[in-house]
Amino acid sequence: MSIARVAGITVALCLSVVGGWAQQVGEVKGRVVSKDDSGIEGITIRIRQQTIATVSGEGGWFVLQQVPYGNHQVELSGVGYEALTHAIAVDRPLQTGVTIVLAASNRSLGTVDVSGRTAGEQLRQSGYNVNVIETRQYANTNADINQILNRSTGVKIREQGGLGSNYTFAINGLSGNHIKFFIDGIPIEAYGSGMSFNNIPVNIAERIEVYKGVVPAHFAGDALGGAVNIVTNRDRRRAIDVSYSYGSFNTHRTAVSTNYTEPETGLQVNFNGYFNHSDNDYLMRTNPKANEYLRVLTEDGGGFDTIASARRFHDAYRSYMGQLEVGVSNKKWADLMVVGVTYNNVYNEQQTGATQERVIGHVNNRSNSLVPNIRYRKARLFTEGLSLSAFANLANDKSVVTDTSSYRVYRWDQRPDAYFAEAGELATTKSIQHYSGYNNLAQAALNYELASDHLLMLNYTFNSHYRKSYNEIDPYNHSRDQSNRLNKHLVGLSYNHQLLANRWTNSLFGKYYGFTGKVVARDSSVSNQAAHYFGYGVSSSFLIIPAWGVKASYEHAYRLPGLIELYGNGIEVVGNPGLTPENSDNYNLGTFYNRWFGRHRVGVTAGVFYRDAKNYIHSTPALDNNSGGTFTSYYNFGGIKVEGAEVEVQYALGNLIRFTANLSYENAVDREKFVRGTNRVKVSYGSRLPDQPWLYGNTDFAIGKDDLLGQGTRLEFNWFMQFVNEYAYTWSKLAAPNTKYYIPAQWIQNAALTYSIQHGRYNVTLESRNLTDQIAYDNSKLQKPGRAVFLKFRYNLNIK
Amino acid sequence: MNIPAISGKRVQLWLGAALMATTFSACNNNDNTAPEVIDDPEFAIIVGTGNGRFFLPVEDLMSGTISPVGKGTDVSTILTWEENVVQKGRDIYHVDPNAAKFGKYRFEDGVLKTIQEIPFSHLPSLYIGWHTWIDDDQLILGPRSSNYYAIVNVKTMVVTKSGEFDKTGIPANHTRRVFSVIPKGTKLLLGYGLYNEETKVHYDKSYTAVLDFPSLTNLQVTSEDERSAPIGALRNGYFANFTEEGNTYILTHPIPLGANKPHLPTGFFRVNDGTYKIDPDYFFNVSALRDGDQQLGVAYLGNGKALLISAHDTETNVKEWNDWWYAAMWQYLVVDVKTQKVVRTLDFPLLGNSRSAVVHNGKVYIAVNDPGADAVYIWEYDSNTDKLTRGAKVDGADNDTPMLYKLN
Repeated sequence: MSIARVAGITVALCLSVVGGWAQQVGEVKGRVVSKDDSGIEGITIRIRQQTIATVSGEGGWFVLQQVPYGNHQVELSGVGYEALTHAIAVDRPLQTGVTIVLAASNRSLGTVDVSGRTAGEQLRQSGYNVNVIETRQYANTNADINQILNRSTGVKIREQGGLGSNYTFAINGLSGNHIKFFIDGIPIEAYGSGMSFNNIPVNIAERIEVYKGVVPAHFAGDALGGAVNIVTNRDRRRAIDVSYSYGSFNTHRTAVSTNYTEPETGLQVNFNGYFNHSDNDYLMRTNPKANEYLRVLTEDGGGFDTIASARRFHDAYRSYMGQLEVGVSNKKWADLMVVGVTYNNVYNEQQTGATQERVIGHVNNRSNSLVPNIRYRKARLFTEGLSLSAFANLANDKSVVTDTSSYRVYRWDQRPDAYFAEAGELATTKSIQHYSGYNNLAQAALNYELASDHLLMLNYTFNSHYRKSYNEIDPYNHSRDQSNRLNKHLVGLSYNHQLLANRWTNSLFGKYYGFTGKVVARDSSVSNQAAHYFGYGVSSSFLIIPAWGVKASYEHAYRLPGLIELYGNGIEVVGNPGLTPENSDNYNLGTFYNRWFGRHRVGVTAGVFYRDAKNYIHSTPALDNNSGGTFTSYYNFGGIKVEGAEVEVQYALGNLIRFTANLSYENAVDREKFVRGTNRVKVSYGSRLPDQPWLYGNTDFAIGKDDLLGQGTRLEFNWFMQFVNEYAYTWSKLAAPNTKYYIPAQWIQNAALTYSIQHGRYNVTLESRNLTDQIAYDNSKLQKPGRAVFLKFRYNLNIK
Repeated sequence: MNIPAISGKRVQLWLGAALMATTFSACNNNDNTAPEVIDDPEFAIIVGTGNGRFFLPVEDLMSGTISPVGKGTDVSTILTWEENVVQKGRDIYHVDPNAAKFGKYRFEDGVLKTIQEIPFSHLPSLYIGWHTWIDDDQLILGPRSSNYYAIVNVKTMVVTKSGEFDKTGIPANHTRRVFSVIPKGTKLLLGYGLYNEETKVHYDKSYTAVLDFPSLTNLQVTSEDERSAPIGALRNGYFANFTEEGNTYILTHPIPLGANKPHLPTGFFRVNDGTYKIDPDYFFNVSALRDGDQQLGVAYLGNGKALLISAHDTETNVKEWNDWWYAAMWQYLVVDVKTQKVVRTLDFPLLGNSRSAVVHNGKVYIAVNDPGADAVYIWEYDSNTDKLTRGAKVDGADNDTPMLYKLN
């Protein structure tokens, strides 16, 4: 699909939504409070005889939009509070200062009723160790999902460069493939390789959930160390969110998220899309503190000169995605049924190899995916209390890696050292390598409410994956071409109940992991593999008082080896069919506190955790005799133990000030006592793993004022700082101290100023990242961008 | 067929062989000079720990404990590809394929110091397959499975010459893969194989050629032999040739860790004194004496004897690729190229792949990778008395055997 077509669809949808709003309407802005003036979150506010409704948010604040001029009766309801009807008159574009006091329900006296909370709040107070990030506070920033998540406790994302660069994602010290990613509960790989947390703009998401260590069974994924789920904007009645930003390094980012539901026919249309482009031509710098030097050839070519800085020159990145869903809702046979298609396309130039000492000038990677899907939802299926949701898709993922330049060994002055007519830039022969991956996924979830507050959930996911590759320049060389299929069956069964008037919430779950694979070996012999494993877990939370609770969770988790780990990718990864799954015992213990004192809200979450991860799957490098390039194979290794703690403190003063500070500590140590297959004690046994941050934190401060520059306006300033403590590149205790170096401590400052009018409908943000222009690294010898400035425009309207 | 390669970690196993090859090629290239007697030899060792490799001083090969805790230099980011290391005395040379540089480093005061690094992009692949000292200052080296070469003057740190060997004798749609480059007087002897680019097959044949040095001209193909292949080592660091009484012996490496030709035997070819071709009447078939087992070269012990390591019963012991390194199936053999016999199997249990050895005063010191022992130990083997003695303990070594270096 071309960009033009994506844009066309976007514009058509925008027009269709916007077109229905030409009437005289106003907005009502107010707050729901208790008798002690504490804001009440999660109260439904509905205008009688209208379809206009909303739910109060943090601090009890709410906005009713598109309210026709005239007198209205507003109905307020929420569990734990007496229902109330309140009269309002709308005779101007903006009606502010509406404060409605709700009385606690008699029924709730002496009890705590949690069902009036928002979905995010319910998750936070569940037994799981979960971060819930409501993305609306970041909606005006230029951030992508990763940058939002990187502010969260226990999460560390290590990027290799600018927009679109590779990254590793860690939760509580477990990283890489140990973490699973979902979009609306569907594994992200089901959407093709182009969909990634480093290119999805924040405006596509409504909420992000980070499950640390223990993952609910309804995410039927084999996550060893945790999972991240993005809840996207969809199935809203009428909503549109369009944004565009431009900034440093010729970075353009556009995001569109729009929904339309026709109330009478139930016709429903959802569209999400984005476009990203960046030249990523940021300045690289020599940094003796980190032992990083930018070297170029001397004039005679026989030696090196060190230069202070150089601009990246082959790191452009472009990606776009469009996701269109059409269906019906509120039918007798379905609460919702939609069919959709997702297309994404990525172009990525490669600037460096494994370190910035290897400069690349020509190799690039193009990929695209086309993913049709269907989803279905039905409550009261056959009987009261039984509901079904189902999802299926077919992903065809194509990518091409082009290595055809005979100019090779670039230096930072953009000049190549050598020319070999028959060689590629990376390999000794030229290649245009085509990959074609096929990922089919089917998922069904049955929920059955056995009785009030007792819920049984069954989830089944089938995933089938295979892959082909060939070299366009040498199509008859199939020496390492493979096309093996891996089928995974994942079943999750959980039983959730709430006791003591919902103060005590428990979840017990079990997971089945099965995989079958057909292996075509190098000698063309075919064999079949099959294995299965069982995991299990429990989570529990208890509210001591309404504002304060404790929680604990445990899971014995597995991660199955992936297709490429098992069977290779035909090029740089040679398979190892003997791999066995990784497994881990994950423990969490935490507490949470959240209370309003008048207009002041104080929140604290704190926890400790322990991970005992075994049978790690790691890659080891090797050399290919024919191509002269390197390749890797995956093997099982001993694993690690991680113990740690994290704390987050939040404070808010009404709508004026928000402040968050968090700190995460992880002590990840080598858990394998003996060198594998020997009686030799490892020298690293019990030592902290090198080359990964072990103490890091964030502070996030925002101050904003409504109506400062006119009615309906808001001016907000945000200052955000990231801190990573110094850490060792290699084992601390080994080697002479004077020969070692450390990655220095980093304090990265970011700031943003946002001006909104018409109650957030139109927004403009000026944002600067890495304001003090520090030389920043997430990985040794891979410098990240310095100071960058972006300007973002956003239009947002949401009618519930 | 593609040939799987050894992992980067495991390449360090070849370094000892590199040392040995260097040591003995130097000895034998200066034919019949009396070995220098060193009263106080210095040794060093590289120990891999599973995450980082450490270049350490060795105070005593035969007693005490050698440990990387608080000592030595982490060379993981300096000697980035262990197979690309060349040692000569205290100086360590390394081609960094990632940064495209050739570095000269010196081990002194217990740490590795950088002397000079120069750009090095003269070869299409910077993964080195072989090297040879032409004289004290000139190092010639080339990529694995390639016809390219480069000559570096390590005193001036200048690349003096580079390019491809003359293509005489290469049929159309074929490429030459050089495995051995051996100075013989004013000539260079090449041992190579031919690769069919259309069928993607490397022939089961060994070839030799000779060319003038230093002009690198006048290349003449001298012999073709199908008794074993490849003639020499596939990777930089294998011990693969020595010259004794003017005759040059070249070990073949058909083992899967070499050229992956399990149907061919490991053995020594001979190039007789005054000639530049394989002697058709000589082939020391080591595999035939070991029930078909294949071997890797470890070290030359002198007087026609060489130390090899032999993979025992690989059909049973090798279940996946890593087993070539870590399965306990290896035996040390002392072989005599004159009598064409295995004269000794060193009295160890079956070992992990362990080819680290240095020779000093007629004794060989081996870092022995015995999975059943509580550590890697250095063992001394005296071929005169046939006595094995256990020496220093190497603390913290992972599955990849530590590599010993003799610095003077």
